[in-house]
Amino acid sequence: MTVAALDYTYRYPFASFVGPTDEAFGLCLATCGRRQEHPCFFRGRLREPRVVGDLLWVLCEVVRTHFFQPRPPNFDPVITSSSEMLRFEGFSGCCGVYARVDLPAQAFDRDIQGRGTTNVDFNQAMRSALGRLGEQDAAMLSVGREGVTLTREGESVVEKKVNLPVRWIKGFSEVQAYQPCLELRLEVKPAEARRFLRSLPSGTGPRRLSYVVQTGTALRLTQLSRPGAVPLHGMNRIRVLDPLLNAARGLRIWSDSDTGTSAWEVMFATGRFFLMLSPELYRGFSGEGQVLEKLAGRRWQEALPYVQARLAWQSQIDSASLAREIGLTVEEVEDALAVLGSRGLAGYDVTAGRYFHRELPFDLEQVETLQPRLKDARKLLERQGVSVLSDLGGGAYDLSVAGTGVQHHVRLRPDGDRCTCPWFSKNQGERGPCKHILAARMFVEGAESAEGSDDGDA
Amino acid sequence: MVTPDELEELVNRGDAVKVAEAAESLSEGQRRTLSKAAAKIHGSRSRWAHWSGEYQTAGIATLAFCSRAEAQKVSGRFDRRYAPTAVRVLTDRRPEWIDDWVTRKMTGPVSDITWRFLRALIKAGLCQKPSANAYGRVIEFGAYEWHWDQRTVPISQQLLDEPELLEDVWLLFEADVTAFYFDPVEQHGRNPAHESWSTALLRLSERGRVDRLRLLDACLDGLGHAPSNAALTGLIRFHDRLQPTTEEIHPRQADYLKLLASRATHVVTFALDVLSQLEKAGSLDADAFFAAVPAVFALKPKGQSKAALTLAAKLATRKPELVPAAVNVAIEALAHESAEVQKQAIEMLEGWRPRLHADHAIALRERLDGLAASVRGQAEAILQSFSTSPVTGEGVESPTAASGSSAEELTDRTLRLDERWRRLAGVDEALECLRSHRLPAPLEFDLLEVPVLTGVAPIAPIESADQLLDAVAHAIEAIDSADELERILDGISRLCDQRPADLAVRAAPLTKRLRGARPSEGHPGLVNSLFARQPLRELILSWLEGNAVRLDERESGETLIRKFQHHRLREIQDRAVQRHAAPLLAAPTHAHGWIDPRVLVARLRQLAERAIEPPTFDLLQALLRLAPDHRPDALRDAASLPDVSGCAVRWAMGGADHPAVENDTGALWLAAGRARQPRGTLEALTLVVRGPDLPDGIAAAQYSWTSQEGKDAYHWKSSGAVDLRIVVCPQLVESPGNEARPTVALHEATLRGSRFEFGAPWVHQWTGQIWPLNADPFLAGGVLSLANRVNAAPSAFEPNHVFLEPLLEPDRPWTEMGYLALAVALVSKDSDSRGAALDALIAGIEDGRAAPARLADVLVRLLPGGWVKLNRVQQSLAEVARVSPLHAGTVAQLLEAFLTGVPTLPSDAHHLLGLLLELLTDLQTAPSENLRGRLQSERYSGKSAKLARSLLALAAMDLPVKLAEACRQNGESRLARAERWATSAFL
Repeated sequence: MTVAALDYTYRYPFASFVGPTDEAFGLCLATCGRRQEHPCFFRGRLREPRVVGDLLWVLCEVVRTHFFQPRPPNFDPVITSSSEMLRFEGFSGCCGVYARVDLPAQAFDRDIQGRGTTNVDFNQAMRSALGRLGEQDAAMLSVGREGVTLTREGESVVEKKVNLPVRWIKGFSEVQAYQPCLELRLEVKPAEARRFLRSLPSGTGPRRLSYVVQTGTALRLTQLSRPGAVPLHGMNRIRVLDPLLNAARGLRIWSDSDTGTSAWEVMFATGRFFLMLSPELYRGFSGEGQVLEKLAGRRWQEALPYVQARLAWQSQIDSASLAREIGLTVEEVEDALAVLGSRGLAGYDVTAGRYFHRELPFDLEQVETLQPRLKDARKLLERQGVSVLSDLGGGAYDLSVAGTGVQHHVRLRPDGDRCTCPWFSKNQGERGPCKHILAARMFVEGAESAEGSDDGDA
Repeated sequence: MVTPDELEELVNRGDAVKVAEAAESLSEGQRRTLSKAAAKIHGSRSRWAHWSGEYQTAGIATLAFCSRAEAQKVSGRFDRRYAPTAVRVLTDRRPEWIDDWVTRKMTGPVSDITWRFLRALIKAGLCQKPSANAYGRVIEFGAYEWHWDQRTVPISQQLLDEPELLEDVWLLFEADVTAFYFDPVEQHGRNPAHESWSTALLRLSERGRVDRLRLLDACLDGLGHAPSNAALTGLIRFHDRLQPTTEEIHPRQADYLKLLASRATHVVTFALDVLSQLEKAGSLDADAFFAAVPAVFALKPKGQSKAALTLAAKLATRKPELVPAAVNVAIEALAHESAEVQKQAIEMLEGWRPRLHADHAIALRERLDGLAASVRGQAEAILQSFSTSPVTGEGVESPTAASGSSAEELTDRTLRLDERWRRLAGVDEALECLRSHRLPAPLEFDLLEVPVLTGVAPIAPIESADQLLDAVAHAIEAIDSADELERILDGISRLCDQRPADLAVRAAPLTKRLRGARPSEGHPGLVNSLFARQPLRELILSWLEGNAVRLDERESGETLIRKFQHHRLREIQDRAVQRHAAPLLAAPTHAHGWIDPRVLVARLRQLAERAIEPPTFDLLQALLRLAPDHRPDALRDAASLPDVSGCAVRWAMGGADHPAVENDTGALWLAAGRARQPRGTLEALTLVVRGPDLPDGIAAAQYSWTSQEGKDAYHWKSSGAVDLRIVVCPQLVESPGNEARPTVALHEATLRGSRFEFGAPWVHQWTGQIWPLNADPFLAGGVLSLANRVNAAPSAFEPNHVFLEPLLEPDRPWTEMGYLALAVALVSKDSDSRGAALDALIAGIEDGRAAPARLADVLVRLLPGGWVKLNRVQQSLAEVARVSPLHAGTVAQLLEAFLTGVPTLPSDAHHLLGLLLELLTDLQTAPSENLRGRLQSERYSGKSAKLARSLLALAAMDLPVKLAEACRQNGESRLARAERWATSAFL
């Protein structure tokens, strides 16, 4: 049975704050890594403190919001530091909104020093004070603090005990799988972007799926699908971007017509805010099955250790050159990166069109086993719940797979598999294969032996 | 050790001290022996008597002896008598769960622990000091603790009696609490001893027990970070009651200036008010103000921005050396979306023109695109003074830029068209208007005159049993549309004799699922028995299982329309059970229920060849779905169709056959008549169809409607309903066989005044497809449904957006019912319906069907109901106008028609006047003579007066570029329609 949530404790040596520090006024972020270490990644002056304050304020809004239930979560974002970029990533409590703040090195007056990924403490007081960054001509940013360790005297320790839903962890990692498929659809100036956001229906908006289209220089909402339109559900989810548009250079809107996901990129002179939305308000990114077929397959398995060994906190991983270096195909490298992404070991930068190395500070080694459909598919195989009805040749099979009190009929075909279960009947494959199809595929392709030799990868 | 009975006796006496003594120094193992008894005793005491000694003692006993789980049930609301003993018990025991227990007591909308008790626990080192927010919430309500004799002791007195509590009150300014927001007990004055926190702190300040300036600083600090609007409002109110003097405010103006960056609009308003005070006193730090004020312009409302600009102007007037800084602020303000703010800023810049320089011009040019049309001219004039070449914004199209086909190209294309299509599509008139720069009149044509099938998508029939099984599997979970449902019905009818050997195996899971159907709000599939009624599920099951299925369900009262549809389903079911595969006459060949007449005739001929009599309800439905296209061809093909059904079909398609008086054929001839002539009286049927006059029987239905102020006591405000009544004549009279007269049956909902029943979108679409030739009955019922949710959010149970779908069909002319549905939806809070209305209006303007004067007339007639909010009208129309110059021009026409047609200008007419001003300015044209006359002859006040003057000042350009573009767009659109029609062999 899938574990619903993991008990997780953020243990910070101090509470993040905005205020005077040793050198100057600024934002001082407390860090806490996966093994309770407290790395110090960066200390330097912000070139545009107001912009950074607004970016992090909006990120804070995302991580503290459940967009369709009044259950404010308390999950901190993570920061990844490389020589070229500081990236803050957050995920909403409803698991349907992913947000990332990218601050390139040009946003600071000195080089970025540290490498790694860590949690950062976002607390209410800090959030409320972020606006004060804009009052200063110059402000400091510290990510971690040198020489500060956790003490048990207590007063300097900030402990946050949370129940991290497994679907939150899975969604945070699985969201990377959508990003390579995003295509740029629309681009507008910030004034138009702000006008559009403020014209949206209040609350969550229409129950039906809406679409964003561009007519001339203006954006508008329609309920009629058309080529190039960007699907949008849950208006409250993009309204969070409003505070950013005053100082922004523009807004770009990306979408993937197959999955219905969209991404909203607010661009600044230095830096950007990337907000990605699940297809519907009530759907999270976990359980969407985007990586299931890859995980069930075998192409990545040979490439994975080689690719993983070459991860070195790159802010952009060049798959082609990596493939040449390793002696594999680009597809194999990309598959391996996608799997690493599902394990929280790589993120994807849509603007650059490349993966970046980062390691989510959660224990994700068993992520494949946390995939309920894959787990259930394996159970079906273990219980010998799959049998071939007919082998039609050319990769086409009819199989019987055990369901709940019924036998489901699975058709494996080169042009698309089908199943009679309610999940597949409803979603028609748009949310990945059902467990019956997965089990049938694994049965036919003999993937079971690969599962047994996964060595903890599964 | 005490026994359980002794323990109970102690609890009954309320002797908590003895309980504490009994628990002293016991080990956990020893405590466990009394755990069960203590839990039972506590559980038996009523929580409603929480102030009683018994209850509190029982709680103490539980804390002393029980486990964490039982302790969770104990309230932390120990009063002064018992709190010390509770602390003593916990100090003695030091349970490892105490921190968790305290945290849980503080969680929830109201804390379940008293302030004094919590404080004592913290002082005793039993638990960690909670966060400021949590502690503050406890303190907020902690002052209202009752004495044991339930006297009210004012907060200030309590604090004077226990001065150490004063240390903690500052947390009220840090926490997200409503301590200062509103105290209803104090407001009502019923309890003179009752004090709000504000009153208490002010009194203590007056008595010198609390530092007044510290209160002011704490208040300002709280305003800087309190997260909730209620907390912020409370702090503002406290500040007002504190009445700080100018001398007290002056040294703190940096704190007030910080508040200008608040995202809460009322905080910014508050800060501006205080800063204005300082300005009047001459002590506002202007430099600091100008540095901080740009943040105000990011707020959506215009009030704060206007106030900020006013203050900036005052400062610059008082000290001219501040003008450069004020100029920068005015330029920042131009980014605000409100035309009023922009105007104010531009007028400031105009006043300071001599002080502007090139950098200002660059900044102004960057903002030109975002300026309202009514303001842009002034901005361009300012820029002109810096430039010798024409001024354009970065994204503004050059006046000489050409887009789309030229007038000559359009004329060339027109000449290749048949005159009939040019006339019906209004092409010639559009080209004439292109030359004269005026928009042509809307299109007027009859549905029967045009080939509608050229504008709707064909439906691909299901081709195999495999496909049918997949479609049914999906429909069990979700019926995507009525078109999809009809595909399935057609598939079953044609393929019921094909039963692959493994069908039973493959169908088994579907059968199981369908047999488990239950009522389920919102589920869109066949498993929702609320929407997918018994006959439909029985049909599907009969096909899946290969034999007749009758479900053992009790059918509730069915409407006439449902009965009609169910008769159809029974016919299909009978065919499926007998495995007599045959074409389904009523299966649509195109979306929205249309049937190509040639295909219908081919289906009938197939039946005739096999000596199969056309099923009654199948044929009735098929006739009502006949498209106008290809009727002459189909008529020729139908020459050999036998029997009365053949006669009726030929007559429906315009043939010379006359309706004949035969037994039980009235319904058939009625359907044929309404296929031949969807509107007007069917004179030829007066002898054939007996019985009373029925709406859209022989006599056409006539609609009249009124909008009234809702007086119905049962219409709660929250229901969102408004009083809109539709009367249909003739009335629907109960008559046997009405369920076989679907054109009549469609009026049942409207005549009952009860709108269509609840349903999934496909349910309403399926109703709408009963008679595509005349959508008025469907629209009338839809209007009532839409009116029911004008002031309500969208509902899965009432997907009213479906009622706007007929308006989106490109060749369906709009009738009064259509305009009425559109108008109601445009002002609705139901964002699904409003979105559908916007799409429909945008499409209707684009293709020329939308008549602005007719929509305006409907809006004028809706006004007396008092529920049409003109700000909503303005928002909807502004969105439509933004699409293109054509849309802007049409909306301007609509607004003019409304403003000239309404008897008296409503008090909120400024919303529409403002929009009209923007549109006409942008279109470079002036108000019509009619509107001009009205604006000149009547007196207005306030915003309307100002806007009226601005409108009257507009002058039309000789060559209005955008209006010309609108005309060109209109011509292009009409020509495209005519060319599409020309592809049909309709003639």
